[in-house]
Amino acid sequence: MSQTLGNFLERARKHHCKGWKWGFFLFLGGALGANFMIRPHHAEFGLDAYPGFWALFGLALTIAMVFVMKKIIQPLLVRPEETVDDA
Amino acid sequence: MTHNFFHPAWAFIALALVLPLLKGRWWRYLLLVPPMIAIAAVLSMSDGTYGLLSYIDAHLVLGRVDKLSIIFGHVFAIQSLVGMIYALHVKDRAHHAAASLYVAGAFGCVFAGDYLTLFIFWELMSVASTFLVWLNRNPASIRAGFRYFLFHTMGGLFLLAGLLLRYKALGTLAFDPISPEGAQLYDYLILIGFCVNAAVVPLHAWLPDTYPEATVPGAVFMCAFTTKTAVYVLARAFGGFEVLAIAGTAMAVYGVLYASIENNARRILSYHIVSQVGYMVAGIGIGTAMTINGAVAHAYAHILYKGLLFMGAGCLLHAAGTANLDKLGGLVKRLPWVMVLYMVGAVSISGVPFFNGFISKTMTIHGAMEDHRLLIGLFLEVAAVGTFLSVGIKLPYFAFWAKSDNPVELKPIPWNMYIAMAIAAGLCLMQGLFPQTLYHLLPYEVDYAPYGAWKLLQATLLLAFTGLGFYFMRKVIQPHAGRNLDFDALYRALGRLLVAMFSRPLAAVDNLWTQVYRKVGLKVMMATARGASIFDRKGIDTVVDGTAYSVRGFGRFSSWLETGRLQDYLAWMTVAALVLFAIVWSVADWG
Repeated sequence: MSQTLGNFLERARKHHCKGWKWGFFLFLGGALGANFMIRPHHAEFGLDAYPGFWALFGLALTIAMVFVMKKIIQPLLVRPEETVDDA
Repeated sequence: MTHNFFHPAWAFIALALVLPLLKGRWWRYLLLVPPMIAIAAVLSMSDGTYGLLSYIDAHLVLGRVDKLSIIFGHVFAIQSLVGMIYALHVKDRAHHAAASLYVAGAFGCVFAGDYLTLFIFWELMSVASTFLVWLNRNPASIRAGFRYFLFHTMGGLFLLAGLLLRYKALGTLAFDPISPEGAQLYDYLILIGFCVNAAVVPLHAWLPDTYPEATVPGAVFMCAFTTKTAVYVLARAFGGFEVLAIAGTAMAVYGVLYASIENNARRILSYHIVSQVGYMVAGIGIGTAMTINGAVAHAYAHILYKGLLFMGAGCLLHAAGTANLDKLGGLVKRLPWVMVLYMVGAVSISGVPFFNGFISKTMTIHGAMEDHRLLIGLFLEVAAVGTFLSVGIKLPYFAFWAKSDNPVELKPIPWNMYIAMAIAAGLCLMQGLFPQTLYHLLPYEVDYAPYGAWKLLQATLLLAFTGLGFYFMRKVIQPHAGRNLDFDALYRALGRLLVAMFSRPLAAVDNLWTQVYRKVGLKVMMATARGASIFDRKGIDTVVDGTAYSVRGFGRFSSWLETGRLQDYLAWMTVAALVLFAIVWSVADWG
């Protein structure tokens, strides 16, 4: 059973990447489309009344967080792995 | 003690005491008995005050039972069973004894009705959990254990100072809610002590420093009990303290930011403890019925899914010998069930609908919005994005998915580890599907429905587009070996400064004294020694040989006790404390 599941996931990883990717993009489009029909009863921040606010929030924040933390902050903080124990 | 209250801590203490005496192969199944007793005890408890005793001038309460203590007792009992199953293959009895005493300490804190009882069990937790780090038995864990113990000793001293000053001022040790308007210095000292264990930024650095160095099952226990006991005591005494609302929000964001740049899977999860406990601390700080319910619900859910995540990361460490993501990858074919079960924990912590993190996290955020704390609500959403990014996508992607094939040799994973993970995963899913199973335990009446079309869509949009962001940035976020400096670097620098402030003047005095001694003292000593030697040969030898033998025997015993290892002294101290409690127990006046 473990081997069957492992083989299935391995095939998904190696051979069906494109299928999963386009399925994911389709799902994103569907969710975004649904946002035009399903809206909050009460917008907490004002802008969240507009369709796509939370999608943009998630996307922009992820890109900004990764860029700032990996490219700007981490180079200032990172030391060799054994730094703490040598200190 | 009345018949409808049995303190769960006694079952775990009894196990810890008998473990060294047991022989054969079957003793390990006894590990499951105290958790089952604890589950039965918590389910059969009714509200009230039990286990009253008077000691010296103080009135101690070992069993304060109400909705708040019961829900924490409930999840502690369940998680102790999951943890014991996960640790079943471990042969080291000292490990099981330490875990048992640690869990006993957590139960003792949860049911304590006074500060002295709380302090005693608080310290028991601190000492026992230190052993869960040391028993990993490598130089890094020994050093991390010392740092952990020092930090928790400091937190404990804040608590002790606060409770003593409070007792002097008010004449009571009662552990009751404190009004934010009337809080005094001693209350804030207690608050600092609690905040150390809750890993409130900037007192949090012990957590990501230590948990990655603990034993594999030890980290599973530690991620459940220390910070959540602190959440319990904060909810009990410090609801509505504004400073906690701000500190909690800062924790929620700080933890996810650090997790996004970490390489070690257990350190990523440790930073996410800081972040998730941030939700709870913020909820307690806002202090409405909704946010306190949210904090408590999130503590319950967090114990289950965080335990599951640490079990998954522990499986990686156990099998591959490392938890560093830069050395892992491509393992999905060989460890498929570890990935599937890990993913249940990952989607739970990320607040994916139909898993338990969704029904608890959204309650806290909704409570913050309802109380018009928009900025807090917004930052908690930021933390939700960061959580899914690191724990939900980055960690599993780089551990199981990325890289073509990983040739690392894998050790087999014992069956009990899978069973424990499956139980935890089942509970995460069950609570997500049936929120009332959690909500009916909460301290206040619940006026919140987690599922609705907009709530589901909002969560879906937020998380799915976080996934898209990861897809765009997957090459940038790739983990690299290295250790990111945190506040612990500042503590160490301050520590070195403090040592230098004392050691340099003392070294100068010592040098001077050594020179004086060499010139004057040594001559006097030699002359005295010659005289003593003559007196000894002529007079003493014939009289006190017997005494010498006694002294030698005592000396041998002392040298056996005095190994010079702090670990041994702490173990003896714990044994002595338990004996002392037993004596107090037998001589105290029971109410």
